[in-house]
Amino acid sequence: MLGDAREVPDGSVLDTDVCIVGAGPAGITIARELTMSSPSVDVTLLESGGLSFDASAQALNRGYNEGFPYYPLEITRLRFFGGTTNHWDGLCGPFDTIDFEPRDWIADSGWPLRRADLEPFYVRAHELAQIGRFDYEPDGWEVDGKRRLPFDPERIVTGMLQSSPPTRFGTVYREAIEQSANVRALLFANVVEIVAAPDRAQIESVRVATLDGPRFTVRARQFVLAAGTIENARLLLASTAVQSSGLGNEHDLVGRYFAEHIVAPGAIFLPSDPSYELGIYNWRSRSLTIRPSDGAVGVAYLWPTERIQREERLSDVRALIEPITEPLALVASSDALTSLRWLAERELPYRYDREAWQPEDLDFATNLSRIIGGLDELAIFGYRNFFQSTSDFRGHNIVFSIEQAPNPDSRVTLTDERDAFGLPRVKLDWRLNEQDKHTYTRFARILAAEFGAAGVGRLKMISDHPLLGWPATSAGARGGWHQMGTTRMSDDPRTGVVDADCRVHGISNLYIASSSVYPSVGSVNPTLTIIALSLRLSDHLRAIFG
Amino acid sequence: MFPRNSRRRFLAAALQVGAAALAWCLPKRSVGDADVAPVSDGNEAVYRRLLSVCGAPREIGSLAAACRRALPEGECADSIVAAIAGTDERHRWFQRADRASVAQELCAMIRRDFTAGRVIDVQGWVLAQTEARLFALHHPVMDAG
Repeated sequence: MLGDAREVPDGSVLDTDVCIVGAGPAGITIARELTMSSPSVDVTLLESGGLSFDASAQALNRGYNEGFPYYPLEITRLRFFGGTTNHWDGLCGPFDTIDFEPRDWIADSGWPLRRADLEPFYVRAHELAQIGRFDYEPDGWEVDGKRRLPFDPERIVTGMLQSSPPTRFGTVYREAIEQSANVRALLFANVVEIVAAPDRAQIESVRVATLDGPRFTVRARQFVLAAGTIENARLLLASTAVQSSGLGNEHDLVGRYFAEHIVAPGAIFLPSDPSYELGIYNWRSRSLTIRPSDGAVGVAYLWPTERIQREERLSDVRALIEPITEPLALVASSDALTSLRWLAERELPYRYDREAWQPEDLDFATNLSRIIGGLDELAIFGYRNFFQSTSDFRGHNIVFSIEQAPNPDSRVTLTDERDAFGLPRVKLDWRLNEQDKHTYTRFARILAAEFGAAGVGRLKMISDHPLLGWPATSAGARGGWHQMGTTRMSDDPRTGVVDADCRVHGISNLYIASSSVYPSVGSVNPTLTIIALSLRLSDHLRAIFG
Repeated sequence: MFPRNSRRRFLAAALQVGAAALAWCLPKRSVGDADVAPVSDGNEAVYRRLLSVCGAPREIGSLAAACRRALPEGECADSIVAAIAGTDERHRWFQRADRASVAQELCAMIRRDFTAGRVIDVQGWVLAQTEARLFALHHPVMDAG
């Protein structure tokens, strides 16, 4: 069932078997799994927002940035049913085998799990994300002359990402939750404190508040935090009644190791053959390639083999390619186009829509004047985008997605400022290090040599460009909107917040379902792994209840 | 977001230079004496052969100058020709071989350079050493060495 927390009697106590905090892809996945497989297990799913965007709920995410430039925290994650799948792009892929391994050239890297441990859950996750079969070999997409680039397979290989429709979890799985007999989802229910027993060995309850409404308590046998990387850390750090440093924070790890996928323009690719078409590599949303055998939509990327990663001491990194021409590249980042998107947006207020996001608040008149001032650019963009094929484009933009190396100084902390519930607001200090820069600059040169050796073309490095290269500007290296790492996983409580079962060390009944548990973050979009880990946790919870 | 004019200039320049970077493998015309830097008699035949194979498109001027500055051989055309031609035996081969064979050999040398990591950064472009030497040979104010 789906209910409204504002209608729960003030001061009441709700009892349940499993309490899930957050109805994003992780929370909905676990609730849905327990609905289907364990109908006798009573589940309460608490969602901060409603069924659609609500500005007052969203404002609870507001926080502060320092360190490497980052997006306003209030726009990066969405607080309503379905969570951030309400504005995700949908690109999916499993992490690579090497991502799970400790690598001696990357401090604090490695999981207490292997890729093989997650494999069956990745397969199940595909169904939830509504993507094709679990097969990422490029062969199936190589049709109609769309072939992979002829690089030395010992050095650079082609891999594939698959694209979800993208699945809006709050829409697609709402009916399953609504009709469930054992899941009670409460909207507008904000957890403001996690209450532990005096011995800190288990959680007794969570305190829940609504904006201008009732407050109540949920008691459960098992608790799952699924509120996202920043909010999970925030809730643990703010729950100080029995542990002054915050729950699960005996070793000062909660909030540390915040990581992003560093998305950076790596190089301009000029093909030897001016008529060369990107084919399976074409990373423009309307040009992704379809696999004939099952209709799976995908896009190819270039990836340094494990051997090269070891030899060159690289973090995980992959390169995606998109066509550019001077006018197209120009208008794609133009003020006029951004303002046009702002005007056209209907689904979300512009500040929370990724494509229409603007770094500053602009009123209607300002946006309109920017559109009028850039009509020539918009005309070119429209013509090229809708009437002209990309076959005559000579230049291509190579964009890197880089695994950020684990960095304890990159962290989320609490500030003295409080939100509407009195919960401390957060400060994000996103920091990169030399390993990140090394991967960025070195991979660009490795790739350039491979393009040259294969006779495919030449690359012009972006890394040294004062405006586009390193360190970041809004046009250069930036976050990929993938927040990870603040409650990292490790077998050792001294180096991790949760164990391999996603259970918080030292607390018998508190679990975390989120990319916040990633100790190493790979370079592939994180959502498929979030879903896979959530499915794995669902099985674990089901086993607890027999 | 950086200023619109800067974006426009940067992208235009990048593509222009890119076109130049590929010019060596798209030879279409021979070179006149005015474009040729002075070299010693021993190297002149090979030099002319290299230039005739590669052509000398006008737009590579700035790239050629940058290549010249980036190469270990510096300003010396004789040294650059010698570096490309290599041993005496190969030097003689470059004089005797037909244009197609020379072009094929240069392509192979360039690929070998890339494979072996013998690359040079020139104006942001990652070029093979041999390729950069070919560009440098087109710079008309080069010293004879």
